Amino acid sequence: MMQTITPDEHDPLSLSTCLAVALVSGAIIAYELFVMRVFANGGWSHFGSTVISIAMFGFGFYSTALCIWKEYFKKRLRPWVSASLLLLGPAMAIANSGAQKVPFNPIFLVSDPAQKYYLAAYFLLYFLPFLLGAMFLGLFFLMGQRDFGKAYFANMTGSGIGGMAIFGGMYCLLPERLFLIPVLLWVCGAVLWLKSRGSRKELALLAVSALLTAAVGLYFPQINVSQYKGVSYARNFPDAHRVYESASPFGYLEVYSSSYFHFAPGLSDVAMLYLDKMPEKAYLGMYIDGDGPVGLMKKLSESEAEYLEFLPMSMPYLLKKAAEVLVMQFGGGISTNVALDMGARHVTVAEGNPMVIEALRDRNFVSRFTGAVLENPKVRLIQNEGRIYVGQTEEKFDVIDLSLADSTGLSMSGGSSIYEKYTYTKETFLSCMRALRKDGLLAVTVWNKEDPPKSTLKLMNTLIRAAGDARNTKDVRDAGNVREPSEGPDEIRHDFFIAHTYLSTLTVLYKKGGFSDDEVLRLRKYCKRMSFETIYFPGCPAPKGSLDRLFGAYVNAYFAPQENEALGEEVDMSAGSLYRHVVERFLSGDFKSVEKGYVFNVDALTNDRPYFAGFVKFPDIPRFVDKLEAISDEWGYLLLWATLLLSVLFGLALMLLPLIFGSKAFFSRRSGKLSVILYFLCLGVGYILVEIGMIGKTVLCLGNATVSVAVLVTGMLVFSGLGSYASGRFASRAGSTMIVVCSSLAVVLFLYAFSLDRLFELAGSWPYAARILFCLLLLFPPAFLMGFPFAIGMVTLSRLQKERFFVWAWGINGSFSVAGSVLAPVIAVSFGLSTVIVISALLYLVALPSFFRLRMPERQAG
Amino acid sequence: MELQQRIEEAVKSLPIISITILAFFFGLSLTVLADEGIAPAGSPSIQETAGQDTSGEKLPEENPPAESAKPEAAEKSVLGSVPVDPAVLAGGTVAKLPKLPHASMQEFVKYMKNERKEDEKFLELRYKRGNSLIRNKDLYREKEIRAFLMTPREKFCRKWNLKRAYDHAFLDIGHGVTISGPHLVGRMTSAIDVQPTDRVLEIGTGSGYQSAVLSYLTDQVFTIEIIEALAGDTDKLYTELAGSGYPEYAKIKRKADDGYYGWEEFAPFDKIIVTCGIDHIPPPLLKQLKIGGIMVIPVGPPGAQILLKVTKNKDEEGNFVIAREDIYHGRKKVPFVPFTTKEGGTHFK
Repeated sequence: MMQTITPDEHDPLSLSTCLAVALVSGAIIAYELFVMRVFANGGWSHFGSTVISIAMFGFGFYSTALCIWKEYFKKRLRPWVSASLLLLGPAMAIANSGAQKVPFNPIFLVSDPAQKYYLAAYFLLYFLPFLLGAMFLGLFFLMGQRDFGKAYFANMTGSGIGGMAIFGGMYCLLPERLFLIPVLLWVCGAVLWLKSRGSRKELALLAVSALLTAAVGLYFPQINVSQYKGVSYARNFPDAHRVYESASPFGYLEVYSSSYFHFAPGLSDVAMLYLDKMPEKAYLGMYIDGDGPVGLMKKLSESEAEYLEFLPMSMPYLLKKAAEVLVMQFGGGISTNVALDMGARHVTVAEGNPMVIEALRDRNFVSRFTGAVLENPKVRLIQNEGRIYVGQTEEKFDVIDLSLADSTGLSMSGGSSIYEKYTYTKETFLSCMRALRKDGLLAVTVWNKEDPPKSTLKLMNTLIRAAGDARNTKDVRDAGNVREPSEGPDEIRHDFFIAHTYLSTLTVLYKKGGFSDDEVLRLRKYCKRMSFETIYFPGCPAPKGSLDRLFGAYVNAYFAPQENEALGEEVDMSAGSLYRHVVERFLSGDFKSVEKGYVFNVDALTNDRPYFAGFVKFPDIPRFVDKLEAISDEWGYLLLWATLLLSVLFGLALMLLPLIFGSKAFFSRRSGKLSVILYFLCLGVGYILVEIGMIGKTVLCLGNATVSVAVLVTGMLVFSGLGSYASGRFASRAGSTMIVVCSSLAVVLFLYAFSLDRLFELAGSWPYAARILFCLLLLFPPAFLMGFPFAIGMVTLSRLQKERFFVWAWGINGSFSVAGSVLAPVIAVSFGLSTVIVISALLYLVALPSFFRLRMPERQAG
Repeated sequence: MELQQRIEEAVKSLPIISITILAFFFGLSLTVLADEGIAPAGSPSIQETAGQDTSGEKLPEENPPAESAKPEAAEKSVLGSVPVDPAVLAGGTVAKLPKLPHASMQEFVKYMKNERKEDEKFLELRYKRGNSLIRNKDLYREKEIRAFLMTPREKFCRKWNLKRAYDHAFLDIGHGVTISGPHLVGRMTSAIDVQPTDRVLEIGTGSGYQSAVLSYLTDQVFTIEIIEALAGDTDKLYTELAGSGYPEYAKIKRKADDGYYGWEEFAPFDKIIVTCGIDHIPPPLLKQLKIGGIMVIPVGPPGAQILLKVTKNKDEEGNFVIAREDIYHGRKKVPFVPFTTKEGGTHFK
C-alpha cells in the first residue's frame, strides 16, 4: 500500500480544488497566448514563439527540482503551493512589463553583441511565471497522483478553456488589455483554492498580490511597439492619423490616413514619361498586428487612374476585354481597381479576413474613401479565402488574378517565419486552372526582391508543375481546351508568358490552351514599352551557355567567391539569365536538375509542404552559419533550428540533472530508467507533433492561422483531458487498454496523414461555424485517445511507488514537448505535414513496448 | 549528511548552472554566428537590362542596352597607395581641401589630430575600416577614400552605440532608423561616382552621415528626411559641426519633407541616392534625374542589401531608356559583405 502524501486534511481532488487547478491552468495557457500576441503586435512573432518555447522549460526545470528535492517539498507542500499561487499573478505582470523595457531588436541580432544578453533577459523574465505555474501544478500532481487521470483532466480542460477565453477576449479587448484574462483566471483560481483551505491570512495575501498585479499591469505598458514595426513609421508621418481600429482573433487592424502613403507595386520605370503626375493622397495604410502597410486605394478619377496601366497586374487585360474576373484576394483593392479600370465585365473578389471586409463595408471613413468598391454593382464579394472558393466553385472565369496576395510571405525582408502559404500551392493553381474558361488566363504577380532569386523560382516550379498536371487531369481538361497529353510535353511551352522588373515584381501569365502568336507579340510589345524584361514567351529561343556552370557560380558566390573572380563572360549571372535557364529546364520537364543543382531549395509548394521559407538546403545549414547576414530573410527558419538545438540540450540537461546530482543514489538503485525516458519522451514529442501537424492542416479548411490555433489547441486540450479522465476506469487493465489505444491511435493518425487534405477540401465551402465543428469532430478521436497514455503511465508509476520517477517523467514529457513543438515545423518544411503526423503515429507505437517494461515491479539493485 | 551537503551545494549552484547553460548556448549559437569567420557572401553581382526581350529578334521600338559606367578596378588594395584621381583635384570645394596624407595610420592620425582635433581612438578605427573598405572594393578611387577618411562617423552615431561606430554594422539611431554600415555607404558613394560639379539628392537623411561623406565630393548636396524629429536632430547636428571645424556641412541643403516628390526647386540632379523603402521608384525622382544620371537604391533585408543602380539615358532615336542593374554590371563577383578583417577580432570590430 502506498503511503499518502496529502499534506492536509483536504481532499486533493475535490471539485473545488480541481476547478481551482483548471482555472490556474487556464491562466497559464492564456498568459502564454497573451505573450504571443504581445510579440506579434510589439515586435516579431517568431521570436515570441522562441522565447515562449524556452521559457516553458520552467516546467522541466521545476520537475527536475522536485525530483531532486522531493522530500523537502513533500514536507512543506502547503507553503510552497500557496507561495507559487500567490506569486504567479505578480510574476506574470512583472515579467511582461519588464520585457517591454528590454531593448531587444532581432534585426541587430547578428551585428550587435549586446542583443544576445537582451534575448537571455527575455528568457529569464518569462521563465519566472512559468516556473511558478509549474511549481503549483507539479505539487498538485504529486498530491493527486493516486487519481492522476482526474488531476490531469482538470489541468488539460482548464488549459483548453484558458485558450478559449483568450480567443473570445480577442473579439472585445485590444491586445494590450488581453492581459486581464490570465489575471482574472488566476484570481478566480487562487480564491477557490485558498477558500477551500480556509486560510484568511492567505486570502488577505492574495488580495495584496492581486492589487500588486493590477497596479503593475495597468501602470506599465504591456505592449511596447518597436520603432522598427511598420505601423511605427506611419505614426511618425507628420499628418498621420488613425481613422479606423478593430480587434478580433484575426488580428489587430489599424488604418491610417496620410499623404505620405505611396503605393504602386511593380510600377513601370517609364511611367514618368507618360504621366503628368501620380495620384496624390490616393491611399490609406492598413496594418494588421502592426505589420504593413497594405494600401487601401481611393476611388480614382479617370485621369488619376491612368497609372494603373503601368502596373504589371494590367497585363491579362491586354488580351481579355470585358472579362469575367476572379480576384483571389482583395487585399488593398489594387487588383480589383485595375480589373474595373481595364474594362472587366464583372469582378468576383475573395477576401478571407472578415476584419478587412468590415472595415471596407460599414459606411465608415474607410469605406467612403475607397468609394465603397465592394458595393459596386460590378463587384461580387466572396467572404472566404480565394483558394478555398476556387477549389469549390463550378463557375468559370476569363481571368483569375493572384497579385501580391499574402505579400508578407513573398520576398519580404526581415526574416519571415514559417507560415503555410496554401494560396501558392500546386493544388491551388490546379484549382485555378480548372476554374478558367476556354482560353482563360491565370495571372500571378509576386514580389521579386531577392537576388539570387528564391521564392520566384519556387513559384515558377509550382506553376509549371501544376500546368503539367492540368494536362493530365480530366476535369481540368474538360473545363477548357487544355491540350491532351498525346500532344507531347512541349505543348506546355505555349501556355506561359513570364516577365519581370529587376528587384521589383515578377508576373507569370498562364493561358489555358496556349497563347497565339498575335497575343505573344502584343504582350512583348507591352513589356518593351513598359521596360519590363521578358523572361519567357512561346517561341523564344533556348538560352545559351551551360546551366551547370551557372549553378556552380551561384554556389561559389557563397562558398568559394574567389573562384568566381576568374569567371568568363560566357557565364551570365544576371537574374534574367538564371530565370531563362531555369524556366527552360522546367518546361522540358527536368525539375530535378534545378532542384539539385541550384544553391537554394526551390522545390514546388504543395498542400503538404506549403512553405516559401526554408530555402537553405538542410546539408548546407552548417555552411551558412558564418554567413548569416547574407540570408537574413531566412532567419525565421534558422531560428527554429537554433531553438530545436537549445531545447534538446535543455531537455537532456534537465533529464540528466537528477541522475548527476542529489538523486544519483536513488536512481542508481532503480531499474527501468530507460523505459521511463523513452516512454515519456515519445509521448511528449508525439503529442505536440500531432497538435502542430493538425494545426497546419486545419489552416487549409479554416484559413486564418490564429483561429486554427485557437480551435485546435482548445480542442486538443479538452478532448485529451476527457481521455485522461476516462483512462481512470481502465487503470486495472492498463496493459490491454494501452495496446488498444496506441494501435488505434496509430491507425487514425496514419489515415489522417493521407486523407485530411481531401476531407478539409470537401468542407471548404461550408459555413465557417460548420467548418470549425467539422475540424473539432475530426480532432476528437486522436485527441481523446492521446489523453490515455500519459495518464495511464503516470498512474502506473504512482501505483508502483516509483514516486521520483513520477515527477521525473512529468518533466521529461514537458521538456520534450517543447523540443517537439520546434521539431514539427522543421520536419514539415523538409518533408511535409503528413510526415509530421506519420512520425507521431510511429512514436506512439514505439512507446507501447516501453510501457510494458515500465510496468515491471521495482527491483532493488544490490 | 554528506548527501544533504551535496543537495545544498546543488541548490546553490543550480541557478548558476542554468544561467551558464543559457549563456553558453546563446554564446554558441549567436556569438559564434556573429564572429570573425562570418563570410556573408551577399548576393552575386547581377546585371539587368530593362526592357530586354529574350528572343534575339528585333521588336519594333527596340531599345539598345543602356550605357552603364563600369567601376574601375582598384589597382592597389591598401590605403596610401591608391592612385590619386586627378579629376578630384580639379576644382570645387574638394580641391580646396588640403591633400590628406594617409600613407600610414600614424601619419593620418597625426595630421587629423592637428587639423581637426579629433579623437585618436576613432581616427585609428576609421583608418582600419577604410582599409577594410578598400580590400572589399567598396572604395577604389582616391576621392571617395578621402571623403570617407575625412568624415567623422562617430559624430553621427548615437551615444548608446558610439563604441561601435566603425564596426561593420548598421546601427540604431532611434525613430526606427539606422545609420548604414560603412561598407554600404562606401559602396553607394563609389557607385554614383560623384563629380565636383555634380548636384546630388539624397532621399532619407537619417543620421546625416551619407550626405556628410558626399559633401567632400561636391558642394551641391541636397537631402530630405520624412521624419520631422529626426530631420530636426540632424539639422542641429550639421549646424553644430559646421561651427566646430566642419564648415563643409553648412552647405548641405536639407529639409523635412516627403522625399517621394524630390526637390523640384533644385532639379535636375546628376545623382540620386534613395535610402528609404518603397515598392516602386517614384516617378517624380526619375523625372528629376538628369539624362545620363544615376540613382542607387539599397534593396532587401538589412545587412544583406543589394544595391540597385538605375540609369537614365536616351537612345539614338531620342527615346528615354531607364535601365536597372547591379552596380557591378553583372561581371565582378564581389561579395557585398567583407569576408574577414585581417587585423583580428570579429569583423564588427
